[in-house]
Amino acid sequence: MTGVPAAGVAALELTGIEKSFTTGRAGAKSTVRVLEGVSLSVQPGEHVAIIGRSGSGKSTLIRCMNLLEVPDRGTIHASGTAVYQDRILLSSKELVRFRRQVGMVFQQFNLFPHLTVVENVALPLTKGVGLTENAALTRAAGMLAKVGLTDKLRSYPRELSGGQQQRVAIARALALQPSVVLFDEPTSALDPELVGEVLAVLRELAREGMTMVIVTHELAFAAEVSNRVVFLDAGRIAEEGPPEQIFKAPVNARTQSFVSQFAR
Amino acid sequence: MYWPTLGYATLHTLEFTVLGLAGSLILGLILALMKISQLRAVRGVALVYTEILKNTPLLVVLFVIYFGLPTIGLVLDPLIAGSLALTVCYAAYLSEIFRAGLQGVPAGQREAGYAVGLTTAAIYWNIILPQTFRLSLAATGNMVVDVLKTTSLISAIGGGELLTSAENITAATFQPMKTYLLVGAIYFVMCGPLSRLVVRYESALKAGTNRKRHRRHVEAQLLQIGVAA
Repeated sequence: MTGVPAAGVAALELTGIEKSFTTGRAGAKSTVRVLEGVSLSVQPGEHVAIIGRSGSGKSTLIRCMNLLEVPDRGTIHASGTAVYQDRILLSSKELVRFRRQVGMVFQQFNLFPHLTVVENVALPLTKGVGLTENAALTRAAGMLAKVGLTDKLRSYPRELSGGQQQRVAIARALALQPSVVLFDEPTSALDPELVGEVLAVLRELAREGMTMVIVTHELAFAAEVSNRVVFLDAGRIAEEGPPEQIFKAPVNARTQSFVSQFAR
Repeated sequence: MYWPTLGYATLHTLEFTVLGLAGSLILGLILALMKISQLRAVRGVALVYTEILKNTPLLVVLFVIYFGLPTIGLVLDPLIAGSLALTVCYAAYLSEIFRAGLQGVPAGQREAGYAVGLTTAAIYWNIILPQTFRLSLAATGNMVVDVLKTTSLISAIGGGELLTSAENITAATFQPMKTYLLVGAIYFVMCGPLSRLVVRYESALKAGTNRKRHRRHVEAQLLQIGVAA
């Protein structure tokens, strides 16, 4: 799982992922099938955008990729190593290490409110990776400089705008030097005028060749940054391909109707 | 004069308070963690414990421990018995406060912890519990004052704390009015500032100024690596 993956080995490879949620109490249970056999591979350096309507299973799918959500069935390989096959194959120690390799940025940022910005980024490095405080703070300060927040190291999350908070969250994920980063609707919770600064950071990451999976409603951004667009519909991949195909000449009727809503 | 007696008794009162609080904070936290367990049986034990202890008078619990346990061969001195009674009773209340605090921490915090590769233990210690502590502080503060006042019930087993000594002094001097008013004043003098201290700490916590030492430490490290303020 460590080291540079051999050429041709997917950073993440999902096969036949199924996931249902059961809601309600005993006696009145109902099961919702959210993912119905999704197969998807993410190559190193690739930028995959996942689009689709609300409830199509986008978030569940991306949350399965770092096993924050445990699928019911299917297999997941990370850089050639099987991490899931109808059950999690990793020991709890290995799972923790796997998650450091697969960074995640949430819609709601999920910064730790009781810690300053620099501590938010440094905490996983000291308490998880085991770096010294000095090394962790050095790396954290470097990451925060990269996302343009050098002047906010000592601030608390509540003192920042949504866009700044999301950039801290990105720095926190990057500080672990992951081999792939998952973005779960990174701009959906932001005021429109703050979306730009976060997309600028993502654009820069893409330019550097970071392997990225992005669930997004920003179709123009997906078209610009991604190498491949996956259109998820009712828990299945209805269509996938390069952005030109998906946005300009979609084959699937559902994709056509979804994309046309955003066409100007 | 009875000042030395009262002084000594005040120390005993504080002793009961500290022991009872320490015990009930620890047991209360354990019970709260049990209440949010995935395992139904574990949750059940904590819930039953809380229901029973919440609905039993502390004085009865104290008598069971002090007078009841010796019949099965367990003799405890008043200090242990009194502290234990405070512990088991207040743990029930505190467990409710801590459970609410634990559940008040958004689920996203735990998820973020997992996503950055922290173990469950590290997530609790560094992320969940510090926030739980903040959310629970006001209610816990009230309990601290409550425990201090409730130590007076331990006089029922002659615990040697303030009210016990007041009873002894009254028996010797026949001045109940003066004695009990004086003891009441001593309780008030201790509880008043304690309540204020809790309120002040709470606002310091909100402003983040409670972490002065830690922040100075981080600041020193930041300067060392060349990130100027």
